[in-house]
Amino acid sequence: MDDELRTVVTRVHSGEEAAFDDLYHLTVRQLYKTLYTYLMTREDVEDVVQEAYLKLYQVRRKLDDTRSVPVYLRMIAINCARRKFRRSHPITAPVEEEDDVSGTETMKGVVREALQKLSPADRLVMGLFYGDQTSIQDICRMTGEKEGTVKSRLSRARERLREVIDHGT
Amino acid sequence: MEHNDREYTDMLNNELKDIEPGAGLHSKVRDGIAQNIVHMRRRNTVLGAVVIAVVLTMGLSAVTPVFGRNGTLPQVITAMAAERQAKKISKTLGTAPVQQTGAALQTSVTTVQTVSDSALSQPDGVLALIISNKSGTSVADVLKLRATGLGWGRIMAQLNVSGRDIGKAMSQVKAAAATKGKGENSKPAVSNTDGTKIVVNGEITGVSDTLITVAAKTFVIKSTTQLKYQGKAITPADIATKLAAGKLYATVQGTKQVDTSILANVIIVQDTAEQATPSNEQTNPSNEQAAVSNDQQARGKVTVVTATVLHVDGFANDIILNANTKVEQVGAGSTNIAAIKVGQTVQVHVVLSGVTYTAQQVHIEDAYVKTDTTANEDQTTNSAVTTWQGTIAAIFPLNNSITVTTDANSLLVFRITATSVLQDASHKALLFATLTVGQKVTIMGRTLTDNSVEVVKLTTTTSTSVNPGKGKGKH
Repeated sequence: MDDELRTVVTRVHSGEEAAFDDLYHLTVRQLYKTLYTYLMTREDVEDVVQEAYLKLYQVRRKLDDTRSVPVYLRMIAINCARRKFRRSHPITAPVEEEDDVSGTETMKGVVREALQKLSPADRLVMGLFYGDQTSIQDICRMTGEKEGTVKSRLSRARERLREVIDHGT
Repeated sequence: MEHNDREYTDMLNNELKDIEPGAGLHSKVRDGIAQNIVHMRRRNTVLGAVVIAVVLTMGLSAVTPVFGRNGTLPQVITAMAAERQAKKISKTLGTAPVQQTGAALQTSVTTVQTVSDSALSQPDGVLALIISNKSGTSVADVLKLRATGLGWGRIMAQLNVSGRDIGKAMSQVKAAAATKGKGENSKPAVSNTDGTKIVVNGEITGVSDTLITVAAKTFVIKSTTQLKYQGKAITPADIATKLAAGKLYATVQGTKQVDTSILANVIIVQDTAEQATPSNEQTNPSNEQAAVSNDQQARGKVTVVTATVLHVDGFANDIILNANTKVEQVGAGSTNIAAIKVGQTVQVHVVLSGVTYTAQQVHIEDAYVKTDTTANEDQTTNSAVTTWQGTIAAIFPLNNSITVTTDANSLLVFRITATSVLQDASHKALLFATLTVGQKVTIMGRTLTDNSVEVVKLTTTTSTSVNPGKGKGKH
């Protein structure tokens, strides 16, 4: 994956138009999930994804193949998402309808409810750390927050999630 | 912190398991990028066109007045810089910047008044004065150009005034203002030019037909006193009227009389306080010592001339004429004060003493034109004219005089002046240089106090028969 990504970034850097599509396909899934933990609606995530890839396209010639492009892409996307969040000022993101009520899906509903009770910033850190397996240092780079803050957010998110799952409140 | 808490990872992955980008997202991203490419191309095209237009306009504007009455781009830039400087200096000067600029540039009171009376703002007025001063053009002409809507840059280019000239003038004005600032706490200008003459500059606090009080000094007004306001004669009654309407200032040059009163020789009335002459006031506030002299040259058209006062356009102060003032005119050589006429262009060597500008020498650049009517007028209006007949005994070109042995056998000195008419028997005009020793002449003239005679009209009755180079006197 890393080698493949590096090759694609090199091709993008050299100006190959098709390489950008390959870069999209390699990175979009993870980015989509990360953004979803933050924004919690598909419409908002898709808007941000479009904006993030457009920005990446505009700077594609400046991309350094040794640089961590996924980190850079997520930084762009997080900034776009934050701007979108500020513009819309949502108090709570709308909960998407769930039709399936099986055991696993019941759990999913609880987790989603727990996530929604977290602050967006805490959710983002949770998604990056547990969903993306991103290191604390990279989270600090992406969010611009200090390590202590990121750790506090993670701790708070875990606690809240645990509480909701265990007690249902 | 490690990722060993599998429970949360699994929980989150399970939650996000179905969260996948839709199939249409990629095409949306591609469409967004494609639209952006088109947008960027259009933007670049427009920007390119704008840049080309700007470059072309700039290139064209450097040589063509594309800015209409504001002129070319360099002229517009020059105007902007000049206006900025004028605004700055106006702000620095504070009150009456036009007047202060006029004083610093030694512009006449009339010129300053012309600017003040115009509709120009103070910074524009300052600029108009400076351009007028630097170009040698009358301020009225500058105002006319401005009134046609021309920008300052174009006016400057037309009158051959550079931005550097403006900068220098601004510095001059600023320096003058700084000097004035230092002297502002001093008393009104009062100075002695010699033991008997005194010049006072300050507010008029009282005036009657025979007395005027300026800066707490009272001067006697007599029929010989010259009273002037904006280059024109004014009466004490007029001054009183103006004084009743508001503050009035004056510069008075007077002479101490035996009875300790001071006779006003010249009173120049102004609406605003004259800038104090720094040299005397700061170094010699007691005003008891002689003023420091300062030679200057003034050149311009004569706007006012009397027996004792000369006013030259472009020179702020009135110039005192006295018996020591030498006058010469092109085509006439040495002449007298009477030869100075309004409208003539003169170059005056002025000596500043205290606040009095005294003419040492006046050079009339307009060529002397002799007219018969001059002599005729003199004949009819002056009863002291006497007629002599005799023979030219000697000629003194250096002082324009001749000696004539009269028929009564007396030797008289006749002085030829600028107004003297020289003619031959057939009334044809003669030049002084053509007179020769031995010529028979009929002279009409006035006897002066030194018993010499000022020639009104000299008529040669015979042509010369003696080589002037060999003439030794009597024929």
